[in-house]
Amino acid sequence: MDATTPKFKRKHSNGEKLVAAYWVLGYPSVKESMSIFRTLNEAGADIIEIGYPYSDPVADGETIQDAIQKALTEGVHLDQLWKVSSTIANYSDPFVMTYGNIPFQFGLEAFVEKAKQSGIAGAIFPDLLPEVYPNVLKGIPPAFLISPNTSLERAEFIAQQSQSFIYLITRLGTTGGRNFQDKRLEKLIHSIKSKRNDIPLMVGFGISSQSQAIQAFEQGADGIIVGSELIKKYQTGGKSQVLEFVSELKEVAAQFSGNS
Amino acid sequence: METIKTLKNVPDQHGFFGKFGGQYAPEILKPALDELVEAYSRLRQNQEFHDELYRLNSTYSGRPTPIYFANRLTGHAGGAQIYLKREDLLHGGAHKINNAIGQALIAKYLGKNRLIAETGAGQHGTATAMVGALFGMETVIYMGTKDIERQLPNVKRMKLMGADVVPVNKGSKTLKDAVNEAMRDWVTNVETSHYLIGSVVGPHPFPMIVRDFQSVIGEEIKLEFPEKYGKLPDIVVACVGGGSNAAGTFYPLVDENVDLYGAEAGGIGESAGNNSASLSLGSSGIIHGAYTYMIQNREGHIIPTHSVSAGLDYPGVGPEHAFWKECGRVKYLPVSDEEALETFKLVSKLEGIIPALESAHAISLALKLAKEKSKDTRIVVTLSGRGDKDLDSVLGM
Repeated sequence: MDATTPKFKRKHSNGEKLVAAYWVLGYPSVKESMSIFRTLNEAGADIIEIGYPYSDPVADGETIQDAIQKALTEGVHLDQLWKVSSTIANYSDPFVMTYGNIPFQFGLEAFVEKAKQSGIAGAIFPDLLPEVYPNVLKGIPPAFLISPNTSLERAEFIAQQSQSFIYLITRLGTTGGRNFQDKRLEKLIHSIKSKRNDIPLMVGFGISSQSQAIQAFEQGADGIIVGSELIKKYQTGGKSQVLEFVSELKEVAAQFSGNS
Repeated sequence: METIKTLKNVPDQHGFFGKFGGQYAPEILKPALDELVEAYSRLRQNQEFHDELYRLNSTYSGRPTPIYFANRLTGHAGGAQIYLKREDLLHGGAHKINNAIGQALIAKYLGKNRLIAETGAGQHGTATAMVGALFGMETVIYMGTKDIERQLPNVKRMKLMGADVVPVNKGSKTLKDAVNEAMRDWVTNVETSHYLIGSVVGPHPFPMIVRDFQSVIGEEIKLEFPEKYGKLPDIVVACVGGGSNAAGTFYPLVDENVDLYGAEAGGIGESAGNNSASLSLGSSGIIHGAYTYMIQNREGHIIPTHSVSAGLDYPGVGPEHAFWKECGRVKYLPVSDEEALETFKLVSKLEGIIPALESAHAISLALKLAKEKSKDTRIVVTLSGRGDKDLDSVLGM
């Protein structure tokens, strides 16, 4: 570890459990989304995933799809992504989550360069598999997804390829809350962690309550990722509900952290 | 020693046709894609599978289809001879059944008894509903609400044959959104379901599988034409939306001395949003799991397309076509709505054959080419489907 090691990796090596929070840039408006990113920081999110809107988000569920659609009508562009990530980088670790065609059109090298300059700590591209990513976005540490139907052998391969964190999907399907497929998940978590423990294993796609977060940590996760549920909370209760929920998740994480 | 040059040796093991194709797909699909790659490479060697496919193609679909010399159309053009490869005579009225039967057979061998499909014009949905009934499989068809409105007869046909037609009310409410929903369904139900994709698009191995099942079109041309006329045709033309009938027509001929032309939907103009001509008017990018040509804006968002023909109204195209374009093997040219409509009426009047609006694009291009060629030049056009489905949209204009 050196000065350039991102904060979340230090926390992980100190035994802290992590909370990653996702929000769509431009939802419900560009200005309001900037303010929500600040809220996520205030709530203590260790990683802030900036969802950059794409017209055809095949890996996202209804809630996020709708938010992305709205954001696109708000006129989001990449300059805002660089700007917001530079700001987030001052207090947390910004990640970008979007789809492959965005950097392809921007220019791959230019995208990597801009991402580095903007302090982006890692990237999640659901449609760029580990076989493809290094040829495309070398230079931005990838977080690759492992799904419940991924074989143990492939899960190990993906874990080896990941450079920021390992993103374990808790259920088949797109983003949004539903129940865990527990036994298989627990086995997968143990198997991955026995092979690679220097980067955190984060669990996502379906965390919608504190009890699910507790379950994830009990099963051995190093962190949890929350996205769709934040949008739902915002829709029913505004920013204060988002703040409250992320804070609650942080408390859960603290309970499971090494020395607290 | 002369080196043997072939364009048939694609895709590579990662699904690439040159730089096009591949698997730009979510991890959650990877096991299913791997399973399909493995199953298909096994079934390709399986004689029983081929026998069953052959039996169904001949007894259920009505293969082989004839190649018809369009005498009056030829006279009208006043140049090269025009022949029509009659895929419109197949069961269901379009080439779509070639692929649907093949993939339903794969599903059967994989032990999956639920079929998912997307449909735009309803032709592929209909073909999938037919094979769903044929194999006794649960069938779910995703269709944009805009397409449901403009293709109501096909919706009724699908339902009659027992398919569940799910309206997609997202995005542009057309084919691309139906593909997204079908993919989401597959992601969720991948263990029990086969995604019976309707064209040579999507992540590897779909572009290869669909091409192979559609290649029966080109194989028959390659076999029948020299038998009757002593040699292969000089020019072969097919329409290209996603590009399945064209891929099936061209692939067996890519190493032969035949000029190949693809007719794209030029719509009402060259600016983005007015056409669906991904190859002639679009640019390269990732769409529905493959790197290929597509209609997009500068930021890379897929933008809504236009064509008078619902079957061509799609913002992407099969990656193998992108490959053929890039290496100069096939020429792709746009044909406007107006030209296609004119040809639709012309072929109906002169030949007593009502072509699908999709196919009318191909015939329109063939007529242009024929006019510039001598009378001993022979052009074969794939008449991919019949036009009964288009009567309302043409006559209502």
